[in-house]
Amino acid sequence: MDIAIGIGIGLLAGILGGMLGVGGGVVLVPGMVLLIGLEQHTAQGISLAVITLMALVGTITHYRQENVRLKVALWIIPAAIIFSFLGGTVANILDASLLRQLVGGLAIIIGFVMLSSGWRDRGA
Amino acid sequence: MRREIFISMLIGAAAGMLSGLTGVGGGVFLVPLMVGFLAVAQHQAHGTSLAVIFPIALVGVITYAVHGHIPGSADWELILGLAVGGVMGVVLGARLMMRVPARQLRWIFGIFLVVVGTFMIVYT
Repeated sequence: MDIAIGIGIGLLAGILGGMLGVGGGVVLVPGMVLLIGLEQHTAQGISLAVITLMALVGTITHYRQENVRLKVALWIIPAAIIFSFLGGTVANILDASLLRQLVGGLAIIIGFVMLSSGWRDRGA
Repeated sequence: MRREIFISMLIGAAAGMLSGLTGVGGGVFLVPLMVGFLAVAQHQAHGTSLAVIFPIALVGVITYAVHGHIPGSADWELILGLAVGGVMGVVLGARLMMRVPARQLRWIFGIFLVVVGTFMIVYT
């Protein structure tokens, strides 16, 4: 049963991630918390594990279509890695409810950005 | 050149921090920032974003695991489902982006994310 729910949430997250070049975690984390009732920190950790795999496959897919700018990626990655570690360490200290509201707020912001860009592309 | 590398570091720091803190991957900001500040073409930004997300998420998952948020008792069936669905979805999404006018999908996902985010904030 869990495997079916997992595939459903994963598919949704993956399609969004593949389309927008994002990891899809904004679907994964709420999916695990709201549908399965996982603890917030655990949901975030599992989300990152799934995103690691998705990003690897996504990178290969886009790379084959010659859509990866390697040099730009290499400029961004060092600071990104350091701050990913810092962010994870801070999250460990923070309250689950605060993190849940952060993720919720983020989802709402991304949702509105998508709606407004959908509106802008109306004539296209 | 030097200015671009500095901006790249700032972008990496922001995406990494966000990803570590919320478990979402960080691509949401990577794509528009790379397009806006590093003159990366939109379609290349998606692929490049995923190439950056991969190491970010990998470091994140290690950080969460070290803090004990991905316990051995975790629901591995669920994780397997998420991974399978996510990988299928990300390949599907990358193809969709190339072929389907994404406007309707943006609307659907936009509304979906606003609803999900609201649930996350009011969830207790």
